[in-house]
Formats: sequence, C-alpha cells, structure tokens
Amino acid sequence: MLNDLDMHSTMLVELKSLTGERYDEVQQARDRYEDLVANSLQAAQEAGELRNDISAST
Amino acid sequence: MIESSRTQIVDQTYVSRSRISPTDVLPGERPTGRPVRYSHGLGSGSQPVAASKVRLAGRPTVRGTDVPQPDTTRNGSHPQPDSPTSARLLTVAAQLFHEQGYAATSTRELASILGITKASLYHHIRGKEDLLHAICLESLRRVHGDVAAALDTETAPGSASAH
Repeated sequence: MLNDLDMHSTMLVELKSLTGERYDEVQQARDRYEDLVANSLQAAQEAGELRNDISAST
Repeated sequence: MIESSRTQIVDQTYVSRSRISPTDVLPGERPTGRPVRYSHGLGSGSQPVAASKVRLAGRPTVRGTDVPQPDTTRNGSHPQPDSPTSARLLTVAAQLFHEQGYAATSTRELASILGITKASLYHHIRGKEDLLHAICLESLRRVHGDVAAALDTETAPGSASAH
C-alpha cells in the first residue's frame, strides 16, 4: 500500500471533489472494498481469532 | 456611405487599441507583449511556473522522486512528447494531487511536468476530473486486489498463516 501512497491518499482526500456518476462509481468501489475488509474481520471474529466486542463493520 | 464605413473602421480600431493603456509600457521601457497579454486577458503563450521550475531543476522531480521523462528514444533522438502512457499520467497526477491538492493542480502544470502540451494531454483525458476519477478507481482496485490476494493466501490449504 505504501508503494501507491500518492494514489491512495488522493483517493481518500479528494474523493469529495468528484461529481455525479464519477463520485457514485468510486463510492460503490469503496463500499465493495470496505465490505471485503468487514467480512474478513467478521469471519475472524466468528472463528475466535479476533476479539468480538467491537463491530467488524465500524 | 464610404465615409460612414471608414468611420466605423476607425472606431473599431480605436476601440481595439484603447484596450492597451499608455501605462502598460512606461517611457523608456522596452515594450514586450507579455504584460499586455496578461493584463488584457489575451492568449499568453507563456510557460507555466512549473515549466520554469522544471527547466531550472534540469530534471523534473516531484517531492524528490524522479518523474518519468518523455520518450526520447523512439525514432532516434527525436523526442516523442505525445506518447505518455496512462499509467504515467496517473502516477504524476497522483503525486501532484497528493502534494498540492486537486484544486491547486492545473492540467497545464501536469502537461508541463510530463513534457507535453496541454492539447496533447487532452488527447488522453477529457478533463482534470477524469484523472481524479481514474486515480480513485485505480487506488481502490489495487487495495482490493491486495487484500483479496492476502485472504486467498491466508485461507489456501497448507498455507502459512503467519503474517
């Protein structure tokens, strides 16, 4: 991730500068990524590998 | 009729010339077009500030890292400034957006650092927002791919689980 620091930082900071369909498309891609991470954390919680007193989706 | 047309032409000429104030060029000063062009909003034809920085620095850098150079090897020694790849565009644009912000970065500056004209840049993109859109999607594509690959490795049978 550090190799692409400029890209990731730009995405996080400047996403708000996009408008219309462009914004929607990126937001949907971001939602898919967050779902991937949340589902992984939830699976680890259910397997007892991570503490489960914190919601995986937050 | 003829006199009327002549008057009209003279009037138009006067209107055109009147845009340039006598104070634009001081007595004894060598006149140049640049201040006039700037002050009257005409085409500047000048290089952006970034271009002068690039020339002074010799080799363009963004935050101390080398910026990809225009292809100077194709067809012998003739530069091919109109052949930037999409990846190169995204890399340099992301560096600029990260360093100085999206709003503060102009396509003219980007083109200058890439070593191409603004017109050439617009052969590859429709506008600055296109670049930001592509950068955001590429960023998410990469992190999504990295995480998915890590999860595949983690859950693959016989794989080492320590990370």
